[in-house]
Parts: sequence; structure tokens; C-alpha cells
Amino acid sequence: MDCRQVRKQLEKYSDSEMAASSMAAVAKHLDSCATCQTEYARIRSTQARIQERFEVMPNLKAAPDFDLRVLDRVLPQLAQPDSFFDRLDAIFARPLYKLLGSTALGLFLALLTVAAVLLPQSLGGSTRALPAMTASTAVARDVRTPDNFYAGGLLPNAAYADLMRELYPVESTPPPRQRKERRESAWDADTSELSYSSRSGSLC
Amino acid sequence: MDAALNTLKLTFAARDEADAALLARCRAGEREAFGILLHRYRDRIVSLAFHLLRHRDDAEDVAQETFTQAFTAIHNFRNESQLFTWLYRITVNLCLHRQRRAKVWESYDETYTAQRMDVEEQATARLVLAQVLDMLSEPLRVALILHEAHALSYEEIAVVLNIPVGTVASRISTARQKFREAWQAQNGEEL
Repeated sequence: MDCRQVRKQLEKYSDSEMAASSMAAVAKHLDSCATCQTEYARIRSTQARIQERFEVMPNLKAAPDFDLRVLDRVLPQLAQPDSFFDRLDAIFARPLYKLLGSTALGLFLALLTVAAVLLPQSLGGSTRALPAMTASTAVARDVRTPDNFYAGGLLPNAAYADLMRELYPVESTPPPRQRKERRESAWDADTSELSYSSRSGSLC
Repeated sequence: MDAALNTLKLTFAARDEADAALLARCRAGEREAFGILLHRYRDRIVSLAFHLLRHRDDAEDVAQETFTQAFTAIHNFRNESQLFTWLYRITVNLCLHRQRRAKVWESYDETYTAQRMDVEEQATARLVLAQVLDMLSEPLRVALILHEAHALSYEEIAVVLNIPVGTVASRISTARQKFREAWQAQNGEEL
């Protein structure tokens, strides 16, 4: 270490805020350099005087009832832990989590919307967009045209059909007039997309 | 007599049990563990608040708030740092927040000044020290107080103030230099 390097380190050396090896190197240099010794003595002296000034700083003691007052405030809060939903509320009340939470919800809903549109097409091979309808009517419709839906192979055909009949007791062969009306309806065909996009827009 | 005995027991317990073990007991809701930690750190926290605010009642308030915040959030404390640096950090933040707010509230400022001028309670040397410290910027003052009055190492100050160790070294060095200059300007004598 040369004088320039040592002088940069003298304050840290004086505060013993260096690694042991660096402390030894500075000490070794000081042993053999009178100029740096003088500089070190000046720094030590200033530090000691500042420290002396701080010695008059009063050290306040806590009031006798300090502990009691703190515990009175703390223990009731700890005794009644928040419910899971309270804690969840508290987490999402923080700005960062609020932002992350709403973003995640938005993405989830967007994915759900896309899946609702694309999944029936991929499973059934139909090119028609899914109309804006409830899940139950969609499933019920698939029961009426089982070939499209069973291609997904989620359940054996018979078991699935039984389940659907039990859950959605609809006529297996609805009157032809009714089916025709539904297909020709503007709600099913043209406005379905509008309906979906406006829904997802408001939710996201 | 019983109370004195309990205090004595508490003192010995406080000396023996490590912070980490006490924290675990606190998390389990043991009142005694909270008591030991309070006993261990309350005076240091009250003193730090007093050094930064120079107002006895405010220092008590801030110290109470520090422990309240720390204890109610004790489940969030990961033993990556020492407990006392965490308490110091909360205290410094609360004090600085209160000081900044005081600059807006004129009434508070008057109280603060009155307290500072109350030479009957505080020695002249303390008043001079306070005046010199006031001539330092807030970051330099806080770093110097933590180092000189509370004997915190650079590393501990870095944790308390959430800044790099190198920045602490630089702040303390500058703070000493400014302190010396301010002292000379205030008292006409070289330090």
C-alpha cells in the first residue's frame, strides 16, 4: 500500500471498519511512514473530539409504565388473529398486491373467455363461434349432438350421456322448429361475439 | 418485593435468552417473551427517538409505536438481520416521518423550538450539540448519531438505513467534516 491508498482508508481504519488483512496492511504502512502517522493522528483527534461532544447527549429511559402501555396495545391484536379472508383483504389492500391481483384476475378472465370460445371448436371441430350462452345450455346442446362432443373422449359416451341427462334433464330430441329458431336467431349467430367482447371488456 | 423479584428474574432471563429464541416465543404468543424483548431494547429505542426528535413525549410515543408495529408484524420478521437493527429502522423511519410532518405543522415546530430552548432541562453543551447537528443535512445527521451516540458499525447502519455500506462510510466521513466546520462556525473555535 502506498501513502495515497492508505490515506483514503485511514478513517475506516480508525473506526476499525476494515477486514483484518487490510487493517494489518495499513498498520504496517503506518509503522514506517511518519507523514501518514501525522495524518492518522489528526483524524483520530477529530474523531475523539466529536465523540466527546456526543457524550453529553442524554440517554433517555423509558417511562415506568412503558412496557404495560405497549403490551396493552399489542396483545389484544395478537389475541384475535385475523380470519383468512381478513388477511387476504389486508394483502390486497396494499397497492402493489392490488395491482398484481387485478392484473392476474384480468388475465385469468381473458384466458377463460378465449378458452370458452376456442375449446368447443377444437373438441367438436365446429367452425361456428360459441354463442353467448350459459354453460348448461351449451352442454345440453352437445348432448343433442353427441358426436361432436364425445370426440374429446373425456368420459365414455354412455356414462357421459347418463350424467348429462341427470344434470340437465332436457329432451333428447327437441322439436325441430325450436332448433331452427335458435340457429336463425341473431343472438346465437351474429351478436355472440359482440356479447362476449363486451362482457370480457367490462370484466377485464 | 414480588415485583422487584420478578424484575430481577426478567433481567437475568433477558441476558440469557437469544433474540431468535424470544422471537419464536413471541410468535407463539407468549406474553413473557414480549416483556423480555421490551426490557432489552426499550431504553435504546427511546434514546434513539429522543436523539432524533429531541422531544421527550414524542420520543416515548415513537418508541411505543415502534414496538407496536414490530410486535404486530413479528410474523413477517425473517431472521436475516438482527432484531435491534429492525427496531432501529422502524424508529428512524417514524422519527423522520414525524420531523418532516413537523415542518408543515407550525404548532409542532413551536413546541420543538421551545423544547430546544429550555436550557434548564438541558445542559448548554447539549444545546450547542443540537444546534451544530441541525446544521447537518438529515442523512448525515442520522448516520452520525447512529455511529457516535449508538456505536453502530457501518454494516449495522447500512441495514438500519437500507443503504450500501460504502454509502455509510462516505456519509460518516462527510458528516464528521461538516460537523467540524459547523462547530467552528457556531462556536468560533476549532474542533
